[in-house]
Amino acid sequence: MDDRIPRCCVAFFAVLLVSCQMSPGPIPEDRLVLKGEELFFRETFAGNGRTCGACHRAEENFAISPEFIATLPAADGLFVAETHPDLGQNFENPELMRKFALILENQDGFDELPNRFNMRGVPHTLALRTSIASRLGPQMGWSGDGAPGDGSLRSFAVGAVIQHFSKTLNRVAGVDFRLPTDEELNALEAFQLSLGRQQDLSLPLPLKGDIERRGQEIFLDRALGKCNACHFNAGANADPAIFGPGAGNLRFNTGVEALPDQPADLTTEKNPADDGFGNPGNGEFNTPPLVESADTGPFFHNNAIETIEGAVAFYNGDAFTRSPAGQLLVGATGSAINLDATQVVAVAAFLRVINALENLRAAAALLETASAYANGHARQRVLIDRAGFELQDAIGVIRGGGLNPAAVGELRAALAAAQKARRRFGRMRQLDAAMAAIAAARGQLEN
Amino acid sequence: MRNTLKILILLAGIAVAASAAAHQETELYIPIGKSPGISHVKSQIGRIQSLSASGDGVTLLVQDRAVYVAFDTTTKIYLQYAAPGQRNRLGTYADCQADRTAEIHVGDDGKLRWIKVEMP
Repeated sequence: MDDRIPRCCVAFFAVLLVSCQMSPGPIPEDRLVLKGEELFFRETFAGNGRTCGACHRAEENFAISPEFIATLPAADGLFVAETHPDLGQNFENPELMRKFALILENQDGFDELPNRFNMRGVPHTLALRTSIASRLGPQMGWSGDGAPGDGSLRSFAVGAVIQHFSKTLNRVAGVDFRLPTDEELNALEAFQLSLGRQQDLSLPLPLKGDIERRGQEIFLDRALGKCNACHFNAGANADPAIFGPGAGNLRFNTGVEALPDQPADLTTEKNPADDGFGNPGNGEFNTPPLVESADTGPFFHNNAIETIEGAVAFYNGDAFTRSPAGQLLVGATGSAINLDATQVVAVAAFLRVINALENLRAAAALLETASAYANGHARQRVLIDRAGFELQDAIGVIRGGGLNPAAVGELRAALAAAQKARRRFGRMRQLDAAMAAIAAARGQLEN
Repeated sequence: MRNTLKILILLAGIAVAASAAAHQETELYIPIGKSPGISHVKSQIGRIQSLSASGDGVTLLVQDRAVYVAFDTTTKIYLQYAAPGQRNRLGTYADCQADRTAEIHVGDDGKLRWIKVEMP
């Protein structure tokens, strides 16, 4: 028997080898954004080992939850307060971090570390292009005063490095960390602005489901839900018809700090009251966008509420009604917000569905970008994995509300195809299949 | 509904008037000349030439030009230390001594937001 390798096989493998070594092809993504992404997830700024991505996780919509924290190894950069002796006191509170995903901030100064701090959740960095601008100046962080220097998103990274990346509590630039360069600040800004929605929705959306459609009506009703006044088009900006043109992202004291039985307060850990914007603070916090809310809990600056239904129900309660914002609303509309249980659930269903629609938009965009790379490019796997996170989130928010099983089925099909697309062979076909399933899922949620 | 608009616009206007550009407290740890978007754009760096007799302002020599700034009740005085092991801290008017390098940032409202003083 002739056991020589057939010439056709040799030719086949030669072509395969050559194709693997060919040019990687065009880069369809902005290079400054890619540079910013690299910095965001890899650059430690000569500090304690943390990166921006230590708290703002790609798998978690660039935020972080207790459930996710529980999966992290002990050596993860998030836990530097537990592994670095110089950071063992007054840098983080490991118990509140692990239980409630709360991060220590010294936004009222660094002169009395044991007593002057607040515990805040990690805000996501999605849709920043729609949610920072304000006639009050750029609103960064939970209370709008999150950035040093000119207060911009670009400058925010400097403050974050100083607060969270330092090797010791001395926080000496050039010793405990290095400051980002101008080029790095530009790249980080570009990356963060690229994340998520680039524009606000235009409500009402042609939703298919009865419950979420009713929820949208309540949301928009100035006499009933009144939500649209401050969360215009379910975003982060105030209704210009009420607050004036160009109002943008505003701050309000909504009484979240007055909530009784906040989870962190039920522990024995010190948890000083958070006075919001300014030093001393005025109790105000800036408005977060709602499109991304359903899959970025826990909610509010202190992670006081776990579920989206609970967050909606907050506005029925005394803490909000008695707050300056609540009294403003009562004065302007003649009544407090007074939704019954089914109405709360309907509004939450609306928020769940618009979140899922955003997950689908984001997943499709990521997969399209992956398709634009030459097959086999390393970047494809990164984008496909991110699309997978979005699809998993969409499944979670729809199922969590007991909504639209047909959409869940299509989402699962999209996720399965995306996971298959992680393998190079057959990738483009699987990407097409995933995008088709995404379109089908969208068709289940809106007309 | 028109009354609704009037009330909310009025209160939004109050919020705007009350808002000063806020500085995150990490400014304390940003060295002279390194404040993002502020240094070399909206600040001046020079040497403290003299303190006012009334004790509420300093004159800075900025490239041979004397610049006087009055302290506001909200002005932050940041003391910058270069020696190893020393931490920057908030200071007082008494720390703004002549011949020390300083950077001043005056806001759009004309108020002195902060002064950073280089300590020996």
